[in-house]
Amino acid sequence: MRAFTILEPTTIEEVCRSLARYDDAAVYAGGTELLFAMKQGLADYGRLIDLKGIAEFGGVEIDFKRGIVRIGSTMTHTRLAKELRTVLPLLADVASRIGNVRVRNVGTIGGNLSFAEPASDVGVVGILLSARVALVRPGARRVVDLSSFFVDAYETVLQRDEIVQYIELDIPSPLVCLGYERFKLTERPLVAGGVALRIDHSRRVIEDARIVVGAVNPIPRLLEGASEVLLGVALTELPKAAEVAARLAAKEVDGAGDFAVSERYRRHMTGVIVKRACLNAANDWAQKMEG
Amino acid sequence: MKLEATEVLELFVNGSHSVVEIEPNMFLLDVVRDRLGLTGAKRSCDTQVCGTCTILVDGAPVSSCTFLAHDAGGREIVTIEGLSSGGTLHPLQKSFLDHGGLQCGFCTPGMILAAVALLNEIPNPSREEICAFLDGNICRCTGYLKIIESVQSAALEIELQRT
Repeated sequence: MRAFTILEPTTIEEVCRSLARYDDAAVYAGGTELLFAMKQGLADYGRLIDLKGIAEFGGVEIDFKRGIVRIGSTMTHTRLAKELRTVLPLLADVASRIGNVRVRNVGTIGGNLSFAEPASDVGVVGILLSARVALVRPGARRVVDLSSFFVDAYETVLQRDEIVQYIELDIPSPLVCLGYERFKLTERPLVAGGVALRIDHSRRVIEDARIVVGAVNPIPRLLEGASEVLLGVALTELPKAAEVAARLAAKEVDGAGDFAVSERYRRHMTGVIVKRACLNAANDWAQKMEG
Repeated sequence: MKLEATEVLELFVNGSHSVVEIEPNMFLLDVVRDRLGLTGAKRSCDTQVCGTCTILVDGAPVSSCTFLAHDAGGREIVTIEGLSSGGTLHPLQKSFLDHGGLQCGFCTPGMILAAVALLNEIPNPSREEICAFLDGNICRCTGYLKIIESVQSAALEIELQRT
């Protein structure tokens, strides 16, 4: 790894100015992906800009009145797993299982999303919960739906001098039940699937459904065809509908194979995971009804 | 904002204050091993997967092979060498010896430090909690059963010492 300098700005303006000024500069917080890439010779920077000193990138704000959670991009997965346990339990649970304990202590949600690793299940949960990301650059900030943030594997809509400031999510309504399932062969998931079902409580029917799958596509995405299968389905019929949705999901994903895992296996496991995630969502509902 | 070829880093390692001059691209593992002579932490996979490089930074296990020494500045660093006190082994070190929680010993410094962090967070962990916390520390020798026993035994010993 070549020599580099570490810059420690204290304001967003300083960060953006440095990014605009130096074409060999990159931002980092934990560095778990960036430094790994640099060690492997896959990235090369002469200046690293440490974001950990920027107050606006840290912390979690919970607005119970508006039902919104705003997470600073430099929050580590470990801290998120602890602080969001009651208000966003699915995201907290996923954060608590990323990589290993050392990665979780150092890696950040902003870094995870910005690196856009296809196997990131933070992206899956974020899209499932209709998250938004705030992106800052000199003199401007824009808010983008997370579903539009990812462009391709390791590629996002971030401009050269733009950084993720925070991620914002709505606290799910009590009428929404969530299920999540993932399959790992090594440290990163092979397939990750999330299901969100909004239930018409009086008719006991699914009035809205979202199935989001990641790791088997270059980017995590909502599977519209598979999701539509669940619309209007009575809760009692969910297991059967889940089978149909799962089969469609297996067809809908990109599923491209590689030297380690064939396309056939990826698609098959997508179906398995989506079906289980649907059933997990049903269990989530059953538990809500009991409690 | 500084633009310098080297930086002077202040570290608090195993309770001692050290000042080292480093290149900014140095990792904590190399500073600890090569500048401070603390060779318990090892470089093995070099990709944050195996855990042999585990060092505690403010009580939290990190992969020192991919953790910039710069980021450890001013923080409390604990390596395996810092666990024993005046010749007395930490309960986890003693327990690993008593229960055979090691064979070649290569993973052991990292494994024990991870267990220190675990027991600080969860003083009486279940078997599942031990496995979940330590699943990022890989051992090729023991098959993990003796490691789990060692941690369970040490947890009990620490609780007894507390009361």
